[in-house]
Amino acid sequence: MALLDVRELTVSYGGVAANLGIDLQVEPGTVVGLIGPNGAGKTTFVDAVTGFTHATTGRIEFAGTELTGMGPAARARTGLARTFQSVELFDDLTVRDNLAVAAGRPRWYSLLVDLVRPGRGRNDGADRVDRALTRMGLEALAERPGAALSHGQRTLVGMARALAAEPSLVLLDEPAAGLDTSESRQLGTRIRGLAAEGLSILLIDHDMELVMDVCDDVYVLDFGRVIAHGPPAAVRADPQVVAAYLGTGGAAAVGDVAEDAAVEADHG
Amino acid sequence: MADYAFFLLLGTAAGAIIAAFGLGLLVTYQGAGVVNFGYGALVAWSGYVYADLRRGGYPFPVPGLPARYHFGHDVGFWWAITLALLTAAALGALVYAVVFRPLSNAPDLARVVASIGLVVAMTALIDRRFADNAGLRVGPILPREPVTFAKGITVPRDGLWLAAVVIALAAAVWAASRYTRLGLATRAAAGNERGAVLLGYSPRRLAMASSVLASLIGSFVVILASPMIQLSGGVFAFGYLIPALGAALVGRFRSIGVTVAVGLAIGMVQSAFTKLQVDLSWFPKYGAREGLPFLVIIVAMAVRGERLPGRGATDRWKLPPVPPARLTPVSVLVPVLAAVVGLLAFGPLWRAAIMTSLIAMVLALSLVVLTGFAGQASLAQMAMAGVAGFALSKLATGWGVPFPVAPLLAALVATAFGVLVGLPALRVRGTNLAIVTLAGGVAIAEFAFKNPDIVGDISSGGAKVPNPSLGGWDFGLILGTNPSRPVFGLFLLAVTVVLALLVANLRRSGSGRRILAARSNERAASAVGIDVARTKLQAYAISSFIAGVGGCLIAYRFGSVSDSSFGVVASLTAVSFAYLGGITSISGAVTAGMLASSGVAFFALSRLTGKVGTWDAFIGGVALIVMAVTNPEGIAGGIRSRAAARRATAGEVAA
Repeated sequence: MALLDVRELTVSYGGVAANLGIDLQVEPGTVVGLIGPNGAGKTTFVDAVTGFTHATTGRIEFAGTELTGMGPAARARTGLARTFQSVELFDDLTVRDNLAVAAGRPRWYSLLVDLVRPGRGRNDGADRVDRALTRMGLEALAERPGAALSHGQRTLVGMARALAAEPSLVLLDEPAAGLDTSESRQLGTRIRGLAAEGLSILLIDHDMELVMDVCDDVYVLDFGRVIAHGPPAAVRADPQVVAAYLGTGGAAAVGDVAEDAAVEADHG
Repeated sequence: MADYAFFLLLGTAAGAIIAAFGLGLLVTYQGAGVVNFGYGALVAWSGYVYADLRRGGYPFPVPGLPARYHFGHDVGFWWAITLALLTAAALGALVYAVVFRPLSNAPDLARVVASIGLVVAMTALIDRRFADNAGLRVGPILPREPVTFAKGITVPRDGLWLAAVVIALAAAVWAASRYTRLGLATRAAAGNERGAVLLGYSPRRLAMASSVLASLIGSFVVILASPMIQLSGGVFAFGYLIPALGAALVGRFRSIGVTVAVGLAIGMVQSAFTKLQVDLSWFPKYGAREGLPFLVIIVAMAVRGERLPGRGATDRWKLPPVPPARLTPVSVLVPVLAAVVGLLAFGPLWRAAIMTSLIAMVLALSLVVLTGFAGQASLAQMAMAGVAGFALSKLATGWGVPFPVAPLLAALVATAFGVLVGLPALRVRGTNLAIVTLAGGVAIAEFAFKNPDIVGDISSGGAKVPNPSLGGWDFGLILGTNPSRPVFGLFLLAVTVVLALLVANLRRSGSGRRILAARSNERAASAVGIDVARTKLQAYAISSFIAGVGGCLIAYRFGSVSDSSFGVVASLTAVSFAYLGGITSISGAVTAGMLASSGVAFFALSRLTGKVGTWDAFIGGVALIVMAVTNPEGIAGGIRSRAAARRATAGEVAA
């Protein structure tokens, strides 16, 4: 059974459907890609799965639990972690504390205990923090405040924070945005490494190269619908994908290819 | 029904003032981006200027100058209103230039504190210049002849006139903002300052113009209303201001129509309460008028508020950073020893000042947790303290509960109230939350603290509280013939130290980290599994427990509790000093305690300079504004960042 099983998910804002009848599955230990041009509804999908926006209709099942009706925090505690396109670190806290916030598993009495004995307790997850720092290679930055990092470092800290809770699925929302080619390639290696350790990943990105390199399975979204799904090689060759993806979002960057694709699409 | 129509119509005057204040607040917000809590007190001054001119004097708002210029005779309506409105325009411009413009990039809380300074200064000024204001009567301006609507519904017509004037003013402002280029530029500037620049206007000049316009609107209406109501600084500063804030909030500080309509409605319904109290036995005798704006605000917020800020929501409620809590033998022992020496070695006056400072520290600590750590505003902190104070009296005097149990239970009662007050905070943020808590604090104070059913007979000096004693050992302030026992000071000190250590522990613990994370970014916090609502309520609980302990300490000190210790002004002052001391750290709370009025710093200053005299409230208000403008991060924060800067430069030199 799939770890994440989304059926017929529709998200409407007013009369406009940002997601329309999306079916998507993530199997344990796999990296699934979700791509699509700007405004295709990728972040809306992540928000709907993680509880940040209200799904109008559809079912979201995670590790056998129906998530509909749960708030974002409750969903996160079932082992579903996410990052943000805009990273969203806790800028007032150090890198270590950013991770510790995610790693902690407070009990109902934690507040009272903390007021009297604030030392790092059993529920603090210091070991999980250290593991996440090592996994993302951030040991040297641990004591720096979040506000004092470069964009690339912040992206890594954002991922490390998602990992610190030791979730079973991470949704990465555009982790390669703002990274240069070599940083992006490094990121790809890290993502594969995490999957090799058994973590499942849903990777949302613009960077075709990255998605095609690291994913086992790719979904393509356009105007809120899934227009293609399959292994990377098959999706890359799909004429509909070429038309939708390169015809709009990638036009400036890819130039000729996009024009060719548009011509093809017209004739098709 | 006719009776209700009568009372509703009678309420048009009050409704018109509330609507005009709401309009003024909206104009200030749109033009200058500021919610001016000092607006009511500011425009009240113009009403007094008018009244004074009609009896032949012009009051000067500056201490040291002669109190007033004497014309020797009534200057007449036109001269009086012209001079009063010129004064209003000048004050509007001055307040923008010296208070809000310098704070345009400061944290929102700095602006709230500065406008609280404005309230304190202006009400003190009115108190000083019009100490005899009970005798200040103003002749009619608007036509007063009674008008009969139906049988039994005959009301003076001036209230209706006033409402008509306010509606006309609102329509004029609406038309100007809609159809003139200047209005368009102001609306553009409210959205984005660059918008105004593109249209060729200076945002600063627009903000200045809005501030002047707002001051003129409020002043004009106050002057027209002055024959109909009892002039009083407090009524304008809070009585009309709080419902006006509610009306403006319902109109989102944007819709003129909604703001004016809600303002008028609040005034009229409040007036009908007089009748309801007679007709319905269960209708609350106390606090209903003050409760109404609170309910309006709560309902508007509940309908509209979001549990989490939306994607890309901009946050103007920036707070100073929270430094780590470093507990070292020096940082704990030095202040404690200083306090012990002060309490034991100096005379009763010094002792009293130290005790005042210690209690103020406790209240500041409660705000460090709530505002500093959790980022939640509260202008109702003294209401929490008051709940505990009155509960203590009931427990200890009424039911004979012994010492350590009674104050702890009383603080727990305050904790429960605090969680209740915190509920709106789950959907309301920043300055809006400050408005909600202000209205809520006033409602609690009026509903509970002035209600003889709850607090007992006020005329006998308030509800009694026995001395604290443990196993026969009495450590109260007054015992037998000794009116100032040092042992009570040591008791205050011990409680303060314990609370400070609890707050330090909170800062260093996982719970504290979660609270800070939620303050820093609510979306990200819930993404990592933090229940943001729960952490906010935890902060409210801890904070109101500490405030409750503070209320018990106040009660023990005076041997009784009365509503005057726990009113809205006390809450505003507590926030102001906590902010000025440094709202994000324990050292800030200690600084706040030292600064508090009648505390150590004040006492030392009055010793050095002789008598500060009758102007101390005014000077305190002005000092608050000056400190908020020069130290937007608070004094402790300022010292810390200066020290950090020095370390950084030293590091560069070394490298």
